[in-house]
Amino acid sequence: MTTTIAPPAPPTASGSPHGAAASPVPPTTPSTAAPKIAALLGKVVRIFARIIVSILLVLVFAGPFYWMVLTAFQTASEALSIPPQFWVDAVRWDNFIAAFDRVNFGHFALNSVIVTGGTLLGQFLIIVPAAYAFARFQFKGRDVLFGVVLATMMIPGQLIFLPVFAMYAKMGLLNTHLSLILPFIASGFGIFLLRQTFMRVPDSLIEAARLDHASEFTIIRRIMLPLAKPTIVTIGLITFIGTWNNYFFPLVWTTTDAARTLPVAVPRLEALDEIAPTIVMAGNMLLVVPILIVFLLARRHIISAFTYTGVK
Amino acid sequence: MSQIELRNIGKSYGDKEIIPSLDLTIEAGSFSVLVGPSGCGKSTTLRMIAGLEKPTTGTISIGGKTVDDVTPGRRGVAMVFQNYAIYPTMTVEENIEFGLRNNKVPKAERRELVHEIAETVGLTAHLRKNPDALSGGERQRVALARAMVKKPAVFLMDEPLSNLDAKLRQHMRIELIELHERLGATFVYVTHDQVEAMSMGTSIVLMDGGRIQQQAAPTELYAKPHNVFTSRFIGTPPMNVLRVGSFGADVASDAPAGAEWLGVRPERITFADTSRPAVPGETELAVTILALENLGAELVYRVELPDGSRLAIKRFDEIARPLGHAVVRVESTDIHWFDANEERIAEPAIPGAVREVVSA
Repeated sequence: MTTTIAPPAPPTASGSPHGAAASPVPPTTPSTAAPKIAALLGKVVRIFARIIVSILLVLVFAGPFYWMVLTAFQTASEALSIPPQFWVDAVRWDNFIAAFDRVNFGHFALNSVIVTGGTLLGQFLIIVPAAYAFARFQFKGRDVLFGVVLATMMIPGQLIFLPVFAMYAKMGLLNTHLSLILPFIASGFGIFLLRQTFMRVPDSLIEAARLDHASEFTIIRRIMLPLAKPTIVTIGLITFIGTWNNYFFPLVWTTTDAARTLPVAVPRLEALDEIAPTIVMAGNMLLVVPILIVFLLARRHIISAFTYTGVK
Repeated sequence: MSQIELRNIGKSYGDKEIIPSLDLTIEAGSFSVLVGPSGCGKSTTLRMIAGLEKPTTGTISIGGKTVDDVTPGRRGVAMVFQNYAIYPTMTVEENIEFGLRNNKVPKAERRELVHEIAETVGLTAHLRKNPDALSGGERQRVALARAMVKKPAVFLMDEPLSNLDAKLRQHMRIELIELHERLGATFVYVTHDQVEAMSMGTSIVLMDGGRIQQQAAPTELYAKPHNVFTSRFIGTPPMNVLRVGSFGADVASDAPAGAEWLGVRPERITFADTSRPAVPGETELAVTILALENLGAELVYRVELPDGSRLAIKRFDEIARPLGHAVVRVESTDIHWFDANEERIAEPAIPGAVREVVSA
């Protein structure tokens, strides 16, 4: 925001609206009064600029979101009216009912919960011990193995989805929840991030715990995980959003609706004969609201995760 | 009561040899201080006793039992770390309790033990607090309490006082001596500070380059240093170690066979009292006083001998002498002799030369 730096005030300071504020000052040479007014003016300009930028940011981020909520509660004619209407007269749930009539949202939502919950659970079961081992143990091939873990982050899913599909077909895993969970639980990104956090824990803490006769499991549970809480929350959120919103894999790795999730279901609202943005937006809300709730719950931890500087 | 024995202990990290071969016996109930310059292997030795490092060769036993394959938690030792290593995720009470909990001590007994220890070290008011609300001294107490509550036979301490300010450090030194008296456990204490070593230890193990230079009681270490390194490590300023010829031909001719170096402690050199002539066994040296440090209770002079070598002289309760020419006296019984390998040469058998050394 370099634009907020105030230009030096003209020497004829009495012309500015803040000249009045400066007038009680005993008349001196203009050279001492001018910098004061310049500073005041600069402050005002800065505050205004900040407000304007804030408003723009809110419009950019919250605007589309507001539009979604608005449309979800409007009638079709309200939604398509010109000029556009920016509010609703009454809260109507008709669009949600219509959405449920067209697509079995309950089924897909349950699938979403199972797949997302399963991925989260499985992921932490895998990445916590893996990150601890990579961070804290000396063993043969550790660095090579860690390199392999990092390399998995660089392979685009679109490259391997077909062989994985073929594999699932052979294993009889097609159209199961497990098929949508398994590939994501060994998260290279999660292992990497958690390993970094674990490595910052002072050695002496772990040594003290070993002398206190703590098992490795106790060390992880009582010392490492509490210290890594912000990282755990961050990884959990990223995984939650990624899995909940995932459209591609639930679509291509399934052949029936048995295990398909919400993001696959919502576009079906569009595919029907009549174009109904109000119903589509109602479906979108069903998809987005859980993410908002999680964000609200985790708000405190997100802040600490992003301001996280290190273990004390 | 647990005696600790290290037999033929070697430790290398890859190609880097830290400790070639170490044999050390730490008497049960002693306050043994491992002291030496940084990198001498003292911390590594302590960590091997704790089981945090595995020796490359050799065997360690505690209380007569070989512990080479025993995990740290089962060795019956407790350790106090330099940075205290207090678990930041637990309250003071949970910190002290952690070891007991892992040892499956029943809850009621745990509570009783924790409160008893908290009372002893003065932490009762802080039990529910988080460690980050404590001062350095209080954290130190938590670390001590955590070690004490397990009632170990051996306490291992790795420079536990070096993070405290000077005043608190002095206070804790006395507390640790009292604690040792009261518990009767074996204390193994690592420090690089000779004052801590001398003031607390009943036995001092002076190390350098991964080797034990001397193991002795503090007075012995001061009076009869085994070699030049030992002689210069204890004492402030350190012992003056000079070529045998530096004190003149008379002293050189008295030197035992093989002597290459002579050493005199700064506090054993006196300024000549002109009203009394030098007696046999006393050597007079003409020196030039170059500088003077006034430390309040003591004065430290830097003087130069005619052959250009330098000496430190420490005197107590005397008025400062002017810089320039002076005459000093050294008693022959105060001279330590070292051979070409810087090893001590046994005292020349002069009748009546044995005298009590007053430690400074």
